[in-house]
Amino acid sequence: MISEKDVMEFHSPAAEDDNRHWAETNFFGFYNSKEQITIGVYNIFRKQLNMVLSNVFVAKGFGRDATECLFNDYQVHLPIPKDAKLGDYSLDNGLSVKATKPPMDYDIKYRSEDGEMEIDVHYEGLMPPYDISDPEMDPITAKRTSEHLAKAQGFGSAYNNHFDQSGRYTGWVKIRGKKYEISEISTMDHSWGPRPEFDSHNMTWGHVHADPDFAIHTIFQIDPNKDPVNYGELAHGYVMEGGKCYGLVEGRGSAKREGYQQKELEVEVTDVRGKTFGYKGKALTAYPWQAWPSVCGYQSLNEVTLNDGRKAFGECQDFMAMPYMTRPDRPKY
Amino acid sequence: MITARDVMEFHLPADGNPLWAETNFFGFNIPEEKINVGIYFLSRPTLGVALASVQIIQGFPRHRIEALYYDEHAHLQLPEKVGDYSLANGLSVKAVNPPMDYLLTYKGNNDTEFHIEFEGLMPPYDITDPEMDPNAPKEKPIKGHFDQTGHFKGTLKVKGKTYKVDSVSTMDHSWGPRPEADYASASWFHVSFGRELTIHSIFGFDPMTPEILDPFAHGYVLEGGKVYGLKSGKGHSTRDDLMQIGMNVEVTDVRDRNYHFTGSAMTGFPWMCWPNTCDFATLMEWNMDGRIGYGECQDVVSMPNIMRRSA
Repeated sequence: MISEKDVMEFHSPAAEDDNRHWAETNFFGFYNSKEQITIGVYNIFRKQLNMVLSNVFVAKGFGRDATECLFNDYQVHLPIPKDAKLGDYSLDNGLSVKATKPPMDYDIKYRSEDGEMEIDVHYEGLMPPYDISDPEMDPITAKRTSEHLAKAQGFGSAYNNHFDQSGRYTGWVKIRGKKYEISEISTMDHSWGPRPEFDSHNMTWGHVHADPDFAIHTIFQIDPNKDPVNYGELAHGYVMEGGKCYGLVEGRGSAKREGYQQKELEVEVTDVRGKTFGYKGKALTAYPWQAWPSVCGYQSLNEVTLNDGRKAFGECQDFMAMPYMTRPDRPKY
Repeated sequence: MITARDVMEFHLPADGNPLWAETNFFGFNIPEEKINVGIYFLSRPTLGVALASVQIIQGFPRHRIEALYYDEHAHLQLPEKVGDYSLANGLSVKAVNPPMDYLLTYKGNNDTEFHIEFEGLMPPYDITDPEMDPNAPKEKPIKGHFDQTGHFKGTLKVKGKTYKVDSVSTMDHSWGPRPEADYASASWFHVSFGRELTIHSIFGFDPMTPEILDPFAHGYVLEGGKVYGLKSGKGHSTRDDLMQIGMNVEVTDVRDRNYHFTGSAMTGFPWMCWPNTCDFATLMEWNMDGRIGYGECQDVVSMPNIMRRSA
C-alpha cells in the first residue's frame, strides 16, 4: 500500500540495489481531447548525482522526432534543490509539483524560461494509488512468483516499486498565447528502483478514461521486433469504476503500427470480479517521446469506443530502449 | 594559445555557475560508405555529471532509432580529467600528446566498438586568441573554444561489420556557460581535401531565415601544414526545413586568398546534442573547382527557436 510518505519523501536504495542507476520518477499526463493535444510532465530524480531530468512536452498531430511537437522543454542537468521533497519541488526549468493532499491530490505549475508555455493544473486522485508490488491490491502480483514478476512486471527493475493512479485534471495550459482548458480524467504514475540509462524492458503502458469516474489502465509486455501486432503478457492493471478500483487478472491486446508507433489498438481485460471490459480505437496524436535519451516512449493520445458503446480517451506509451530498437534483427518497417 | 593543461584539466567557473559546461567533440567519416560518426562529451563540472553520446549515421535517419547506431547517456559520473576519461557507457578518450593527439576507444552494445587514433595536423585554433584569429574578441572572455583538424585512423565495428577509418576531419573543445533551455544558432562546418587542405568555418544564422549564413564568426584554412585565420565569409544554404541539403560558401583568409566551395549532403540527422538543442548534422560532399572533399556540417538550433519556427 502506498502511504503519504511514499509520495512525499525520496526513497533510498537498499544495500543490494544498484545505486548507480537508482532513480525515482513521476509522470503526469493529461490532455484536451477536443483540441487533440496531450501534455506530459516527467521527472527522473537521481539523488546519488543530485540531478533531475525534467521534461514538459505538448504533442499534437503526428510528430516524427523530438522537434515535431507543439512544445518540448527537456533539461537533463537540473540540480535537485536542497529543500526539495518528491512531493513538493520547484525546479530551475520553471516546473513546480506539490502533493496538496498526499497520496491523492497534486498541483502542477510550470512557466517555461522564455514564457511561451504555462501550466496551471490541479490533479484530484479518484482512487488510492495502485501499488503493483502489493499482493493485497494486485491479483497478478499475488499469483506470480518473484522470479516471474522480475521478468514480466513491465519496466524491469525500474518498476521494482511503482504505482499508477487515475484522477481528474482541471485547469489550463497556455502555449504561445493560446489557452487550452483541461478537464478530463487521466492517469499519473510514480516509480523507484534501478533505472539503467541504456537499457530497459519493453512495455506498453496505457489507459482509457470515461466520465465521470471510469478508467482502464494496463501494462503489457511487448516485443514488436518479433510480433508488431499482438501484445505479450499482461503485467499489471486495473479497472476504476464508480470510484473503486479492481485489479486485473488477465488481458490481451493488439495494435496496428507504423514503425514502432501504435496507430490503432484493441484491448480486452478481465478484473477480479470476473467482469470483462474492452475497447477499440485509434491514435489522435503520436510522438516518439524520448523518456530519457536512450529510451523512447512511443506516445499517443487515443480515442476509443468501449464495448458498452461509450467513447473514451487515454494515452498509450510504448517503451523500448536504443539497443533493442537498433538491433540488427529489427524488422525493416 | 591552447596549452596541454587546457586539454587535460577542467576549466572551472569562479562563481560555481551550474550552467557551466565543458565539451569535446570528435567526428570522422567514411565517405565511400556514406557513414558519419560523432563522439560527444558534455560535462558539467560544477554539478559533477556528464552526458556522452556516440552516433553512427548512414543515410538520412529522421529519428535516433533509425541511426545505424546511437548511444546517449545523460547521467554519467564526472571523470577527474577532461583529457583522460573512461565513462560507464564504454567510451574512453585520452589525450596522448596534449594538445595534439588523442586515442578514442569505445565498446558499446550490439557488437559495436571503435579504436581510433587522432593525430593533430595543426595546433588547436583558439578563437579567443587575437594572435591566431583575426576575429578574436579584444578582451579575453571567460569562455573558451578551439577547433583542430587532424587525421583519424583506426577501425570501427558496427553490429559486427568492420570498417577501416582513414579520415581527415576536425574536433573541437569548449568551456563556458551553456544553458540547457536556449542557445544561439550556429553553423559549424569543415571541408577537407586530405591532409593538404582543410577549411573550417563557424557562422551564426537566424533560424527564421536559415538559408542565409550570417554573420561569419571564425574559421581557418589549414594548407600545406600552415594555418591561416579567416577574415570574412558568406554562405547560403538549401534546406529541407532546417536540415541542410546544399551549401554555397565563400571565405577569405588573412592572406586575402578566397575559397569558394559548394556542398551536397550525403547523410543528414537531427542529432539532439543535448535534449533541448538539435544539431542538424550532415556529412557533405564538397566541390571546390572540381576538387572533391568531405566534411561535416552541424547547424545547432535550440528547441525554443525550433518551436518559434512552427508557431
